[in-house]
Amino acid sequence: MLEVKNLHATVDGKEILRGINFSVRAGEVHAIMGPNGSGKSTFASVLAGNERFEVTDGEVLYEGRDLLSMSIEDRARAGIFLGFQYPVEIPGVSMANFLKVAVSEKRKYQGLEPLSAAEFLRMMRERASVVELDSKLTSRAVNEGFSGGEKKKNEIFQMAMLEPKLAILDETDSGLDIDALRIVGTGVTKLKRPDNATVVITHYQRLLDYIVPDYVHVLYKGQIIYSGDKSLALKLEKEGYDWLINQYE
Amino acid sequence: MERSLENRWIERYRAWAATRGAASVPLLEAVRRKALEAFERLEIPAKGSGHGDRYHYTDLRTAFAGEYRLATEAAPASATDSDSLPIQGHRIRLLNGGCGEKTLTRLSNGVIFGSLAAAARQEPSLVERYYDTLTDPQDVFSAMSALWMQDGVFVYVPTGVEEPLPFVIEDEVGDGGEALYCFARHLFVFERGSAARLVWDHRSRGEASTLKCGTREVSVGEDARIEMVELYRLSAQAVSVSGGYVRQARNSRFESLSASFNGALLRHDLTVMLDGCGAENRTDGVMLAGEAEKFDYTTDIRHHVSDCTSSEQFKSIASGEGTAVFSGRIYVAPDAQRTNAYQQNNGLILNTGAHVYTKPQLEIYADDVKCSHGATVGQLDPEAIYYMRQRGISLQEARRLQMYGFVREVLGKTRIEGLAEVLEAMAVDKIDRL
Amino acid sequence: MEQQDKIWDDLTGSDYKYGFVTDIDTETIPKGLNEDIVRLISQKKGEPDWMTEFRLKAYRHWRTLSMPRWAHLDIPEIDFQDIIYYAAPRTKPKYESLDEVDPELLATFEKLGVPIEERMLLAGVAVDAVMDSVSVKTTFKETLAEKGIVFCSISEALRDYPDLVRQYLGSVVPYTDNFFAALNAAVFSDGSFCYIPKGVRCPMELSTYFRINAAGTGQFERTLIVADEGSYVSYMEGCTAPMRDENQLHAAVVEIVVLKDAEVKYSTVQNWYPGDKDGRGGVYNFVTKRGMCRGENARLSWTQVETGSAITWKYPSCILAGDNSVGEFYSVAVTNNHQQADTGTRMIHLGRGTRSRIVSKGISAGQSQNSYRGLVRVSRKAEGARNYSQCDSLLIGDRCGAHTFPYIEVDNPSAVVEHEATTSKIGEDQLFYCNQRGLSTEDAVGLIVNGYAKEVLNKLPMEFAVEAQKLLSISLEGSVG
Repeated sequence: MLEVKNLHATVDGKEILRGINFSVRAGEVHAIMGPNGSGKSTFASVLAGNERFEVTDGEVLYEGRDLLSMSIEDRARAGIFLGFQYPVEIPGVSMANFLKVAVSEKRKYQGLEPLSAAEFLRMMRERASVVELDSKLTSRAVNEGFSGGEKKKNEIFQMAMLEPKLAILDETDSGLDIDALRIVGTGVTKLKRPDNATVVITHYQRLLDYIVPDYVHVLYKGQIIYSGDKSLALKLEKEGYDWLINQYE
Repeated sequence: MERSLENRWIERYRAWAATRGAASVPLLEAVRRKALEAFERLEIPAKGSGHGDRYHYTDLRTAFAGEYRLATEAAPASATDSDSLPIQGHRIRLLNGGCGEKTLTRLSNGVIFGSLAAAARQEPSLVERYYDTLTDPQDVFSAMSALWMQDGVFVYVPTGVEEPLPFVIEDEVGDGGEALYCFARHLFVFERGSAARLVWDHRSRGEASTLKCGTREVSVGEDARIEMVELYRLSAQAVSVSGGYVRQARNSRFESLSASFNGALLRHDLTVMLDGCGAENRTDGVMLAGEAEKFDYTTDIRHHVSDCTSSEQFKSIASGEGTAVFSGRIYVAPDAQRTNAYQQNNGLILNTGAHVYTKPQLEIYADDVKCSHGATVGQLDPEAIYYMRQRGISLQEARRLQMYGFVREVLGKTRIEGLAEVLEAMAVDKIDRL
Repeated sequence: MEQQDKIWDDLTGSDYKYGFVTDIDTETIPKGLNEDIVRLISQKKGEPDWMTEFRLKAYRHWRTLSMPRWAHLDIPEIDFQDIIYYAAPRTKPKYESLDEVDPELLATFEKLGVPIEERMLLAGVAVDAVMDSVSVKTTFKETLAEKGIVFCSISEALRDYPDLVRQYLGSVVPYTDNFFAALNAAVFSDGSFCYIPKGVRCPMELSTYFRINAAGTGQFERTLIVADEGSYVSYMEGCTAPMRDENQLHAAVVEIVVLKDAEVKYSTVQNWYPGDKDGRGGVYNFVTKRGMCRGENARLSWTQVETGSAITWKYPSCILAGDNSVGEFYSVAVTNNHQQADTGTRMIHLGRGTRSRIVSKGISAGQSQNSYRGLVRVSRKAEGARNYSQCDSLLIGDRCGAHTFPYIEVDNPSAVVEHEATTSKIGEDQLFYCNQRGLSTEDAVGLIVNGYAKEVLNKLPMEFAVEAQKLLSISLEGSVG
C-alpha cells in the first residue's frame, strides 16, 4: 500500500529525515517509536503533504501512485488520514459543516453521490459513538473549546467518518488520561479492517496495549535504525533507546 | 478654509428651497433653518481633517464633489419586489429617502410607524420632543440631512409595548440612469419598557451612481430592549454616509449589527450615549470589502454614567483594492464608575492592494473601570487550512470555510428569526467574490 | 535588597527633590527669534556656512507652520518670541581633569544623585554632560577613540567631523517633519554626536545628562547617533530640571541611523520638573525622536521611563527600512497632579521580514491625563512583517484620565499585527494585602507600580533601572489618599 524509499526532507534548510525506507501492506499495524526530535512527526507531516517541509530526495509510492506529487487534499481523498498531535482550532466553522464538506469531497473523488442530510446525520451519530464523543460537540466549531482528550477523540471520530485506507496517528496518546486512552485505543481497533492499515507514532508502549502492532520501528536522527515485532516496544519501555543508539553509532 | 464645495451645496440648497412651496411642517422647517446656520460654518471633511480625527482614513469631500441631481420623490418599490428580504415584519418602504405616500400606520397596541414627514404633521408634539435632540452640532452630515430632508422613517413604540413583529425597512436608492443624491432623517422612539426589533435593508435600484446621506436618532427608554440589524447591499457606484445617534436610558439594552456587503463607499458613524445607569450596548459589524470598495465604520461609545456595559465586535475582510476601516472609541466620563467596556476588531487582508486600517481608542476619565480593546490584522490561519486540506477539503474551499467561519461568529448573533441564515447566505455570496 | 531599602528611604522625601537652581553666570542673547538670531547662534558656535544655511531654511519653514493640536493635550499658548534661544556658560571650559570644573557644577551633579565621578569610576560610563547648551566636559573620549568611536558634542562634531554630520544630520528627522523639529533645526544649541564604526561594539554605556538651567532659556538639544555596519551601542539619556515657576520649553531632536547588522539601544529616564501640585510651572517637553534601520538586520530599541514634565509630547519611532530589521519600544509613562502626557511610538514597516514590538505602560494619578498614541504601518512591500503591541493603563484615583489611541494600517497581506490594550484601576485587594502585611499605602503603590512596569524596567541598563524605580515611586507620592 505504501512504499517509502530513501526519503529525505528538510525544514528551514535543516535536514530532518535522512533516508527513510518503510513499507506498509493492507491489514497491517505499524508503530513508529523513537526519542524526541528523531523526526517522527516530520515523517507523518511529509506523508500528509505539509508544505512546511521540503522533500529533497527519495520517493513515496501509495497504491502505486507517486504520493509526493499529489496535493494535500488529494492525498486525504485517496485515503490518507493524519491524526494530528495538536488538532487545530477553526473558529466559526462548525464540526458538522466541516465534516459534511470533507465527506462529500471524498465521495466526489471516489465518484459517489453526496449523502443526503439524513444519511449524513445518521452517520455522524453512529460514528461519534465509536469514540464515545459527546454529540453536542459536533454542533460546536472545529476543536474550539475542546479539552485535550476531546480533541483526540475528535480526531478518531473524523477518522471513523472519513474511513481512510492509511491512518497515521501522530502521538494520539499524548495528554490522554487512562479512560480517554482506552476509548481512543479501542476506537482505532474497531475501525481496523483487512483492507486498511494504521501507522501509530508514539512514545509509550501503553497505547500499543490497545492497538497491537505487527511491526515496531525505531526512528533515530531521521532514519529507521531498527525494526522488530511488538515485543520490541516492551523492551524499549523497559530499557530505553540507549542500547539501540549505541549499536547504531 | 476653502469653502467652494460647501458654497456649491448651499447654492444647490437655495435653488431647491426656492422651488419648494410652503407645504412643509413648521417643526421640520425650524430644524432646517438651524441646520442651514450650522452648515454655513461646518466643513465637509477631507481625509484626516477635523472633528476629533473621526475622518482619519476616509475622504468624504471627494465623494460630495460629484455632480448629482437631487432625487425627486417617487413611489417606493411594491411589496412583490423580488429583492425583498424573506423576513416577516412590518414593511416600511423608502425610495431615495422618501416614503412616497407619506402615511403612518397605527397598530392597536399603540405602535406608530411610517413616514417621518407624516408623523411631524400628525403627531407634532411627539416628534418635537425627540427630533434633532441627539445629534452633534458639529456633525456636518446631520446638518446636511436635516437641511435637505423631505422624509424618513418614523417608528414609535409606546411604554410597555413589546412589538412581536420586526420592522423591516426597505431602503432603496437610485432610479436608473442618472446620478442622484438624497438625504433623509429618521426617528425611532422606544418608550420605557418597550421591546422591538428592526431590520434595515439598504439596496440600490439600478447601477447609476448615487449619494445617500441619512441621519437617524434612536431614543431607547428605561428598561427597553431593542435590536437593530442593518445590511448594505448597494451598487458598485453607490456612496452611503450614514450617521446614527442612540441614547439609552437606565437599564435599557440596545443591540446593533451591521453588515457591509456591497457599495462603492460606505461610511457609518454611530454614537451611543449611555445616559442611564445599568444600560447595556452591543455593537457588532462585518465588513467585506472587495474590488475598489471602501467601508468605514466609526463608533463612539460614550459611557456618561456609572454601571453601564458595552461590547463591540467587528470583523473585516479586504481583498482586491478594497479597504476596510474600523475606528472605535470608548469614552468613559468622569464618575462613570464600574464601567465595563470591551472592543474587538479583527481584520483579514487577502492580497496586496487591499487595505485594513483600524483605530481602536480608549478615552477614560474614571478609575473603577474594566476597559479593553484588541485588534488584529492578519491572514487566514495556514495551520487551519492545512488541517482542512488533510481532511480532503480543497484549498479554495478551506479558505472559504475559514472566512465564512470568521464572519459567522458575528452574523450569528441576531435573534431575528430567519435573519442569520439570510445574512450568512449573503456573506457566502460575497466571500466567493472576494 | 539593599537597593530596595534605599528606594524606600528615598521615598520619605515629598516634593520634587531635584528642584534647585545652580548659580552659574550665563551668557545669553536677547529674547525672541528671527533670522538674525538664527545667524547669531550659528556664528557664536562658529559653524560652517552650510550649517547656517540649514538653520535658516529650517527657520523659514518653521514660520509657515503652526503648533500641532492633534494630541490629547491642553497646551497653553506659547509665545515663541518670549524665549531666549541661546545661553552658554560664561567661562568656556576646557578641562583636563574634574578638579578644573566649576565646583558649583559638580555640586549640581551630586544633588542629582548621580555624581559624575562616581559614575565614571563605578559604572564605567562616559558622560557627555550638557549643562544648558554647551558641552562642559566630555570624558573617556580617549578610551573610545582607540576603538574609533566618536562621542562628542555636536558642536565639536561639526568642527571635527563635518562630513559625517553633514551626511546624516536631518536624514531621519528632516526639518520639514514637524513644528518642533523645524524649530529645533533652526536654533539647536548643542547636543551629542555619536558614531560607532563598522563592526565595533561600544564597550560602555554612553550617556548624557541634560539640565535646563538659565531662567527663561529654551533648551533645544540635538542628538545624532550613527551605528555603522555590524556595530553596537547602548545609549542612555537622563534628565532632571530645577524647580521654576514659569514654564520652560524643551524641544529636542534625536536622530538615529542604524546600518546593516548594527544595533542601537536608546534608554531614557525623563524627570523634568513636572510643575507643582496645582499645576503651576513645569517643563513642556516636545521631543522628536526617530531612528531609521537602514540596513538588513538592523535593530533599534527605545526604552523610556517618563515621569516628569508638565506636558510631554513624544513619540520615539522606528523606520524599518532594511529587510529583517527590528524595532522595539518599551515605555513607562507616569503622570500625577496636573501633568499631561501624550506619548507612544510609530513603527513604520518598509522592509521585508521586519518585526516590531511595543510595550507601553501608562500610569495616571491625581488629575493628570496620560495618553498612549501609536502607529503601526505595514507598507505594501513589507512582506512578512510582524508587530505585537501591548498597551496597558493603570488609574490611581478617580480624577485622572488614561487614553489609548493606536492606529494600525496594513497594506500587505502577509503581515500579522496584533494590538491589545487594557485599562484598569490599581487593585484594591493588592493594596489591602500589602497593608495587612504592614506596608503603608504609599509603599504599596510604589511596589505595585514597579511590578506593573517591570517588563519595561527590565529593559533598562542596570544603572538606570534603580534610578527609574525610585522615580516611579517618587512621582506617585501623595496620589493615594
